[in-house]
Formats: sequence, C-alpha cells, structure tokens
Amino acid sequence: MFKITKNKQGFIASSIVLLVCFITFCIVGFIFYILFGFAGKLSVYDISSQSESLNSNSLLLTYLRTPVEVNGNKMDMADLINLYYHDNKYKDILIGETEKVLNSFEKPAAVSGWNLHVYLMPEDETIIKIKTLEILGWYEKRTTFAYLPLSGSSEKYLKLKLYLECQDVSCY
Amino acid sequence: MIKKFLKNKKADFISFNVLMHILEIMFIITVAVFVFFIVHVDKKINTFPIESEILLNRILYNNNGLWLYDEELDRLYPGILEFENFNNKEKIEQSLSRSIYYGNQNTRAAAELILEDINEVKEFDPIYYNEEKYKEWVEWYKAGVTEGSGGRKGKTRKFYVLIKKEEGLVPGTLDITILIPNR
Repeated sequence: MFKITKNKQGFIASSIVLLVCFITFCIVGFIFYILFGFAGKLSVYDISSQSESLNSNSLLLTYLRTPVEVNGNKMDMADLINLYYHDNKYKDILIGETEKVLNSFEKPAAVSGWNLHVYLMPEDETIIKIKTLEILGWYEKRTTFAYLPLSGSSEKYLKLKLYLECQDVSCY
Repeated sequence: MIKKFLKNKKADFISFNVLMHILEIMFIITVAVFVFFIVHVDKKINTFPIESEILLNRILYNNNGLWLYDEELDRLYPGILEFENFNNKEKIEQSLSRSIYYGNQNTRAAAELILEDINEVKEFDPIYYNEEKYKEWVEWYKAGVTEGSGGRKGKTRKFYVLIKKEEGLVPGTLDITILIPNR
C-alpha cells in the first residue's frame, strides 16, 4: 500500500482502475437489476402435463358406450352410427342424441364446443359431421380418433374424430 | 497528440498491463454480478397444474372402486361409474384414501366429487377425498386466498360419465373440485 502511494504513477493508474471497476460494477449491477426485475415479474414458471388427449380419448369411448333407444330397441351410440351408415333415416336421431351428449362435455372456454366427424375407411370419405359449434377462425384442440368395425363388411370400417373447437388459441 | 503521448513512455500513466487489468476486472465483475442475480432472483415455479392433474388422473383412471371393474378380465372401465359404490359414502371415501396416498396426515390435497344424472337432472350427495381438509380449505379457496404460503389453489373439472345402475347405464356428469395448498 505504501509502495503504491510512494509510486505516484502507480497510484494514479490504480485509482483509475478502481474508478473504472466501480463504475462498471454500478452499470452492470443496474443492468442486471432491471433485466432480472422484469424477468422475475413476467415469468412464473408453470409445470404442466399433457394428459388432455387421454381424457378426450376416454370421452370418445364413453360417448360410444352411451345407451340410446331407437324405435323401442336399446343399443349404444356405436351401433346407432353403424345403423345410420346403412340407413339414412336414423340421421335425425343420431344427430339429436350425439348433440345431447356433446353438449354435456366440459367446455373450457365460453366460445367452444365439441364436434364429431365420421369417415368411411379406407376411402376416407366423410359420412357425417355433427357440430355443436361452428365459428369462423377457430382452433382445433384435444383431437382424438376411434375406429369402429362396420357390420356387413370386413374390409371397410369407420373412423371417428372428436375434437374441441375453440375461438381462442389459449383454450386447451 | 496521441503519437506524442505514446512516444513519451514516462508520461504513460495507463500502461498496457493496467489496461488489461481493467478489462479483466470488468469481465470478472460482469460474471460475478450475473451469478449473484441468477442465484438470488425470485423464481416462481407453479406446480399446481401438474399436481392437480396427477390427482385428477388418479381419481379418473385408478381402480379405486369408483369405476366399473371386471374381475374376471381384470379390466377397468374408466368412464363407467359404479353407482352402488358411489352411494356408499364411507366405503368409497376409504377406498379413495387407500388408492391415493399422501401420508398418514394428508395435508397435500383434497377433492370433492359431485355426480349428476343428466336424464333426471338430479344431483347426488357429494363424496370427498380427504373430507376434513377439503371443508377447511374450501373456505379459503372461496374467499379467493390463492396466493402466498397460506393460500389454497383449486380447480373444477367436469367429466361426462355413464352411471351403472340396476336398470343399466345412464348418462351423467361428474364434477371434480381439487384443492391443493401452497407450500
């Protein structure tokens, strides 16, 4: 220390180094304070899971098992879809019963609704589209598929697509 | 001026070595301050979404007596609710407690399950997982105390189910409210 004070040149130089360090410390500290202050306020980290596809798959299976009464005969939705494929006269009852079920599904946003499409495979030809909501500029969420054997045919089968139609992209 | 300054070695009060020291120290300061902020910055990690999802999935997909179970096939049918078991409040609550274990004194999570028959528009008596804590925490949740160490976070989800009654399957909805206190 005494050496530094005796050496006038060294004293000036080290003072400048100290001054520069002090200014740097203040500037860097201020910059990080601002940066981390904003980051701390803006970011709350959410740890979430991706199990919604599991839930919608379970929903589709439950929908297919839902009992319906057609002309006094008890059957489930899977049978009714099969019946509709063979005879269009079951269209109204299929749409009515399906809408009833789809409307009781959970809707995560105010403008959202569940829709069901049925396709004939392997041609991928649309058989019916049952929509509880139809809006412009929508997002498709929680999409799930199920396959049904078609009575009277070993090669053809039905593909069902269930999805949630949302107006807002943040709806999950 | 600069040439003159550089030529006059004696007048150099900032030598090359000193200049290099300044750069070194500036670098060290920057790294040190960065590390300090990284360590001490207030990180908020919200585990509620995943914790509630795990509990929800345990209720929905576990063989806990709530769902139809075929012993011969050893197969569970999630989505088909055993109404007989649901009606036996004591039995089903014990079964839920056994299948979802958060320790002897469960202060981690609680849930309420409300079943509704869609056709009859009838709501049945709710059943609870960790009833004592649920009734304690729900007041805080309803009061909107969800932040901080004493807060309780919660969410309600609605599921379409089929209720297995004596006369067959009937459509219904199961509303599950999950409450988890902040730690």
